Amino acid sequence: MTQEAITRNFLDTPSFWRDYPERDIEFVRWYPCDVKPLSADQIYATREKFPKTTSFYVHIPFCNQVCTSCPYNKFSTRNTLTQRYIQALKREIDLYSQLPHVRDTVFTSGYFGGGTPTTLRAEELDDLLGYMKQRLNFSPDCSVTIESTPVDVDQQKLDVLLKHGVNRMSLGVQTFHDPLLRYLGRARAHTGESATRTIELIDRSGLENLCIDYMIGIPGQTPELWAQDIRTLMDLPVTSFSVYNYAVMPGSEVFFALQSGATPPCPSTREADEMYQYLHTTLMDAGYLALTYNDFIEPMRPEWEAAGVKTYPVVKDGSKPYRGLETDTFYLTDHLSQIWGRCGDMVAIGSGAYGYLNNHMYLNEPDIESYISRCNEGRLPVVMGAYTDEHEQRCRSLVLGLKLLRVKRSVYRERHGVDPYEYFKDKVDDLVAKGLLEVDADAIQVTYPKGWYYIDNISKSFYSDANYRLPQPTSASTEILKWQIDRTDGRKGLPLVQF
Amino acid sequence: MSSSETTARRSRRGRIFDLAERAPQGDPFETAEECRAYDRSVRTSMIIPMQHMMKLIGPDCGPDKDVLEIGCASGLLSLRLAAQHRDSTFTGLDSNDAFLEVARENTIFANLVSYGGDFACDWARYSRLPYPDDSFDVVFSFCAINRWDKPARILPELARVCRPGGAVLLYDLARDADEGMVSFVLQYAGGDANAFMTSLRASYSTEEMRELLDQVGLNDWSVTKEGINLVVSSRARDTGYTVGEPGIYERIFD
Ligand code: SF4
Repeated sequence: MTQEAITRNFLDTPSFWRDYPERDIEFVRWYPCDVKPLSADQIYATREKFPKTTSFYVHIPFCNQVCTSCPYNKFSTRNTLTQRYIQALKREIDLYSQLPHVRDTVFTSGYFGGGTPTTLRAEELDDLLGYMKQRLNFSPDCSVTIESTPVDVDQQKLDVLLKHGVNRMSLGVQTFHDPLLRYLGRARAHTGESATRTIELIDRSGLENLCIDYMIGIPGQTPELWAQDIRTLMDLPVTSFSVYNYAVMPGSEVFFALQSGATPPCPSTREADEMYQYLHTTLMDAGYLALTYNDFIEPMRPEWEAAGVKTYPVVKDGSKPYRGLETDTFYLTDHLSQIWGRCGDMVAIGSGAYGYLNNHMYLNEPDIESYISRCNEGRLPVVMGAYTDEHEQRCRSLVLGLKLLRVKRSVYRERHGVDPYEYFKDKVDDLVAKGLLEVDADAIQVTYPKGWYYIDNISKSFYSDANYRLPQPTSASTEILKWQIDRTDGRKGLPLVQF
Repeated sequence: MSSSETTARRSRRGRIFDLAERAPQGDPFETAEECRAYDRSVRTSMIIPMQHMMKLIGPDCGPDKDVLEIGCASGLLSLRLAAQHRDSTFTGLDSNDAFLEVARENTIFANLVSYGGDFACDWARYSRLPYPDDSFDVVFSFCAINRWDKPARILPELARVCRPGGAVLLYDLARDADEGMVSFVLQYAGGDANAFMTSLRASYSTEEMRELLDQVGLNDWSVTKEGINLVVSSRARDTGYTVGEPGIYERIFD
């Protein structure tokens, strides 16, 4: 990678908008960003183009151990609250199952996130999953993911999950090194050994796709420890793999531990960048396939190939043998493909969940108690969102589609009636000139390694004017969203410009 | 990108938050309990600006210096500086008795754990400081200007009590801060989002502060923007980072 490409890293300076050659630090996952108060009635006021497939996202905001410095909205498991929450989820599922828009659609993928969904007891999972399958239509090869941790899953829960067709689990391992887990404040939760045991248990159960999550930027993490973690990963029966940045929140326990010297420092910007590069080259040298710049899947298996799974060259000039996976050719990656590649519909279920339906991106009530009461009153808990018109849909397909590193022009044309290069010629040419994108007759593709490094800058280049410089509507913290909602209720609102 | 689109984009800058007009808030802290809540927030969500201020003012503070903090609130910053510079004298002034109550609690606690340093706090009207001319080597304030109703009468007072060759340094929010940073603070720094935005709205833009200083004859004082903050200094100084440069997160851990 050129010197120019390695300049700044994630939280050095807290800002949510940086223009090239500065690297943007905000992980783009939603679009559009200019969300405003929105109700379910508004979403279904008109019926837009009918979707072929749909996916779902269910948010379970509970954790058994609430990790220090975790920015997500979550609650520790409290029995009555979890039960009331599950009841509310079921009410919400009921409401959706009655909507013509959802009733006649087929679910090809789904995701249970949190929090930690597997903090629910086996009976609760059975109840919830069973209910969903009874009310909604699932395709036979529907790929369903559930997030878990090395301590929240056991044989009984696995049996329930498998019975209901959950075939992918995303396990928050972070690292296999115990001291690093301690610095993260997760020692109470798990150790490297318990993670290994859980991975073996999951493997024996026959779950098809086990994905583990790693972190870069942990206090005390060194290139050597990182290299060991990568080796461990390659030795274990793990199908896919994601890596995230660890960020120290100001004023958090970890922050003070670092300052007092109680924990060793975090890797520098440079070291963190080098760890990414090491990860990319080591995995792809070994034949792992890229899904995004931070998600990878095992080398191609004959049975996948036979089932029509396709790959493409990551480096177009062929100087490296690296391959990326065409996510839409593989049912196990259908969820990513559905929400980012096809920009398809996704029903959001649960408090604080995001979804996309009938050309509206929407967010459910983030306050758990208000969420529960709304569902119990028989009202869909949609509170915020934005309509995407034709132009916004075209933007969205590149903002999110390019996160998968490659957008096929024919697929785009079929969906939007225009060619993405012709429609966004100036922007694409500009990114090509900067060495971030490559265009050929088939696809618009993110360059490796430079474009990978600038993936969120690239993504944000396709924000429409209305979304320019707006932060991602994040589910990590609903602060901004909460006060936007407050404003409409006439309560104390913060000064936001209204249009 | 077409040039008309570029123009459209530029004109949209500064449009996420309604911060065009300054909206003074006065002193929002009435009870000691409210002051204690602010104190907690300074210890967590405001930790980075506080530490950065310490780095800026630290070199001016010792040894044998007389240091004055205007609007010391719960006293945290002076207490921390006093512990670092044990041979200097720190005085914190506030016009809000509720804050002084909390500052005294903090002082008692600091003594209890032998935190060290020479710090005392007292009540004062900032526009008429109870000191003769040239009484202090260092005069500073932290996140206080946005609560002053007559800064034009306070700023010359700060200049008056500061000795020739001394330093005045004022650190506050900048209403013209980068909006990406504002949303970052809102989403990740925690604390009370409403209180933060109200203070931001009550704060001055760099330009307004420049005008204010010129108005009262302090033309040689500098005004710089630093992240979401405004730094006013009686002498030009290197304030450190701007967006995109190696910044606080790296420096803070060195
Ligand atoms: S890191 Fe994961 S398990 Fe820990 S509190 Fe956050 S969401 Fe829960």
